[in-house]
Amino acid sequence: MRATLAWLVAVAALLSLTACGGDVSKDEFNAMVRARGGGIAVELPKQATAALLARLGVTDVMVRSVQLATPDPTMTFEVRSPTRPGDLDTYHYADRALAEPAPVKLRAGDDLAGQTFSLAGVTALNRIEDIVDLARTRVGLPDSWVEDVDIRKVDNVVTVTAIVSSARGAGTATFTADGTYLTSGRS
Amino acid sequence: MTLRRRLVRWASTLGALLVATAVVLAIVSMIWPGMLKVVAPLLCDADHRTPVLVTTYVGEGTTETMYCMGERGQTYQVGDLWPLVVLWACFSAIVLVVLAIGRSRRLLTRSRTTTT
Repeated sequence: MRATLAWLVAVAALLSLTACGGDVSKDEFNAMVRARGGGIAVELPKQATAALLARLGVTDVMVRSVQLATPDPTMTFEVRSPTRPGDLDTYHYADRALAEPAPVKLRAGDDLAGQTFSLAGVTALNRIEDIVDLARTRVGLPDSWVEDVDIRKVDNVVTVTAIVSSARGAGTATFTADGTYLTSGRS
Repeated sequence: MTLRRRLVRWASTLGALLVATAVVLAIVSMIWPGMLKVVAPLLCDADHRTPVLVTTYVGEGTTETMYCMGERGQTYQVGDLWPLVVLWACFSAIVLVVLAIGRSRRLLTRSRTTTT
């Protein structure tokens, strides 16, 4: 019996040692994500795009905007409905699941044919990690992170905008749809 | 002892063990939630090696949610139930093995004393 007790104490002690560190608050968790660059990795667009295309049962789709955000990794698409081309829907991907679509209220001047672009054509999404690293380097803020990547047509050209932030400043870097660097600046 | 009786005895021992480990775990995880991180290697995949246990305050109580974090800060949520269930299963298995070793040793000592 004594030996059994000793065993149990030993196992409990070992488990306790490996569990060192305890728990953190949500703010501390967000700080950890930022210290590692912001949390945007290639798995997010990969999984979210796959989920969206599977939901719609298509191989490509026309979108008006795509947004990747952190610290809780989410991806939001404004999708032109493949079956009703006059309608725009928002699809939100979070916690590794795609939510039900929500309708987007269109304005009188909206021209979906001109504002939307092919999601498959945005090959920058496949190299999102390079974009994040380059945006942080080009903006040049120490200890920065990318908190948001926004993709939409600017002056009729598909543009990828990475929003860089730090404790002491913020900035943006822009890229083409294939991930080629365009501009950067502090805001 | 008939087979049925033996089975009932085993089942009740196992049931008591599961209840006991559940109670111990519930108390320990309340005092020290970091304990849940022990099972992280079983729940976090290769690209998200760092387990993070986040405390959220809901009303007057708190909830513990486990996240797995990768090198770029990418995360996914494991939830609050799975770590507890896996930890419970592992803890019960360890206690079961320890008890089984203790029992077999006792039986061995007893058979040795009867033969000598």
